[in-house]
Amino acid sequence: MNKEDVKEVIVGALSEYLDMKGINSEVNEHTVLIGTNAVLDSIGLVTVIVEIENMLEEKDIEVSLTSEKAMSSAISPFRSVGALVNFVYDQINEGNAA
Amino acid sequence: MQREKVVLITGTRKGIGRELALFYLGKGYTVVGCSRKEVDFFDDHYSHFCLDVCDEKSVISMVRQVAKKYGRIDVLINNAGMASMNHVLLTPYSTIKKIFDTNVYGTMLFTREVAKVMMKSKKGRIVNFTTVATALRLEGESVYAASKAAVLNFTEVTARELAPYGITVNAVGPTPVMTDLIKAVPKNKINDLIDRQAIKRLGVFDDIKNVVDFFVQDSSDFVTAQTIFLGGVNN
Repeated sequence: MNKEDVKEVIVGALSEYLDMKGINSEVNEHTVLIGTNAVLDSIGLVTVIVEIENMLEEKDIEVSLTSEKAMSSAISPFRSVGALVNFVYDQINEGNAA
Repeated sequence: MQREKVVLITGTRKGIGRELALFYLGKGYTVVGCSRKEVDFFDDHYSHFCLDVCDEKSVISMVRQVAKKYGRIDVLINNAGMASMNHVLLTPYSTIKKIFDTNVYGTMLFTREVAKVMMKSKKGRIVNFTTVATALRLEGESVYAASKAAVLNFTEVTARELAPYGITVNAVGPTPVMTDLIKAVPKNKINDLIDRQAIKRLGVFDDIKNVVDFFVQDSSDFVTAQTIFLGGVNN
């Protein structure tokens, strides 16, 4: 899976959640996921992370986004769509898939 | 044909887990179980995984296989548990670790993974196992009681965390039941414990089934974060 494919999954999961919640926000790689100006609250972030895992699993890619690496990174991989795309892409290609 | 509910039960090889598996198979549910070793029963609607409940990779793999095969998991019963009756001054660290591995970490791992599957259906039932030993602050069971106190608190917090997804989380706290778990406990110790219950008898499987099945009902969707201790014991 290349980076564009990963981005498509993440943008898809996020857009679907925002639509469901009636939140009108453009989703691109600069979209902020946590902190000030974030499009998601904490429960929204949890929901989207799990949905991304599920969508990847449907493509037979098993990645755990609740890994030590994800949770302990000094700079959170969940800070923006772009950062998350990079993190997930690295996870897949580093063979960290479960 | 898809049966009425898909139930995942940990620790189905013997004792209460085995009884619950047979009970739900009898009700026409699909049951998936696990334990370290194979089970001694067979049913077309039962499938078994041999694993250690605190082995994260095995748990993730099992839950994903179940979700893929059935498309959903309706009920999780975190039954797998181990006990060790011993004074804290005489309890080896290896025993402490084993008890927490099975009772606490196993419950946490299965809850995390199965809740991800339940989220998709926007409903689910999780039932955990605590014990009257926690409520009674039972001497000689400090590590076991502490591990089950962790399960009790985990139940209450996860109930809040998972409520937005339509998932309820409750616990049952059985009195001693004649299973392998207590076979090594001296009779006078069991009698002392029973004396502290409002209803002074050993528990039976049906007592536990009754509470578990209450939590599992569709109509129990407004019941969460609760622990029911059997025998008239309060926390």
